[in-house]
Amino acid sequence: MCLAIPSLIVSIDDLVATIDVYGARRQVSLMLLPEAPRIGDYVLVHAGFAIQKIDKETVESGEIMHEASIALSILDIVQSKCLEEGCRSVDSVRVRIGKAAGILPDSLIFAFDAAKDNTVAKNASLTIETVPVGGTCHDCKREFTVEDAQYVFSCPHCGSKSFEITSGREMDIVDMEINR
Amino acid sequence: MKVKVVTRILEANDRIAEENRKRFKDAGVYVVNLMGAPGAGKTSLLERTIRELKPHLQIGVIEGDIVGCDDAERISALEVPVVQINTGGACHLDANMINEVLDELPLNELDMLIIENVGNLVCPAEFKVGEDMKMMVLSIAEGHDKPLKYPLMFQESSALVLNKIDLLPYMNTDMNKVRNDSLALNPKLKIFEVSCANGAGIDDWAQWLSALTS
Repeated sequence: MCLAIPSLIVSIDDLVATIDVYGARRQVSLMLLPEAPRIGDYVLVHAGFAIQKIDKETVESGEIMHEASIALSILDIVQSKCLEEGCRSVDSVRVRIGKAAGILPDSLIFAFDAAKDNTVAKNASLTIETVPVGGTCHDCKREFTVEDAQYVFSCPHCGSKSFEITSGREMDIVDMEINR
Repeated sequence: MKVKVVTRILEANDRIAEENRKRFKDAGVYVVNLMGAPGAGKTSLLERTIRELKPHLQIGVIEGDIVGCDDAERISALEVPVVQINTGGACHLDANMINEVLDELPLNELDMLIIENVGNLVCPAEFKVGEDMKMMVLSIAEGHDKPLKYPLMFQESSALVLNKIDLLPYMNTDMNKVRNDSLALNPKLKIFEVSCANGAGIDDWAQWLSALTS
């Protein structure tokens, strides 16, 4: 899908670091990182805050994806649910992703695995259920689903162009397996 | 043990987007999320639109870019309030980034706020920022295959501005295909053809846009 550019830390002054993004220098806050990074580390930056340290190998593989921000949102929700339930660790997290949600499942798993270190979900696996695009036809009143397509131009039953899309844009966490 | 979660993954973003939306509504400002690929002409369209509407409307701008403030400088030359957000690598603006800069804009004095998203045909379509309307710019030089390759943004947009029509004589772009595929994906899409280089079509577009604020 698209690349989120990892930023290299070139200097640190207390909780503010100067980062290098393809030659451009800017300052970011380190407040949100669980452990203080060092000069030479790579971080993902979001709205002026370094939010996640990433290993050098991951950066060099060039595969830090847009899905990283989705993976971080999943981890946020998992962590707050864990606090609520008082759990020690998470074995697995199951999510439901629509075919038309614009997410590549393999990239999401990659990003989740890269981001889960230092979280309660560090040993968790991510299971993705994909949901095909489906809808209800306004003319023949029948429901339909299409496999392997991101969009529908006409009702597969009667060819009508008047229909409502009812599934395929999902991006939900379903459940997770935890240990108390 | 298994625990049910059943939460939308982007729930946190959507919640902040809703907060933003409420602030915009209270201030009486109409908010446009302007999306499109790098080089489609988002900033050029903004400049043309502001010039056209400035006598009638108070417009403010939020510029989103990965790095740099070139766009904000271009807009600021038109003497409208503008804030630059640098996403530092992130490929889209999210609701929180917008929320953090709102105090820097005189929202109560504005009729319209235009948020120029990071140049990208994919990711911005997934993140709400609290806007009233999403729209996109596609330059005809990008090719007629774009609606079917990047359906989400065409489906999410209320308006599609086809820019650089002055280049039509030099391109093999099939404009009927662009229009038909876009409308097949989104039958309610309003399509405009403009050239930011020579100003063609800007008046129709600007008139339609300004009518949304009333």
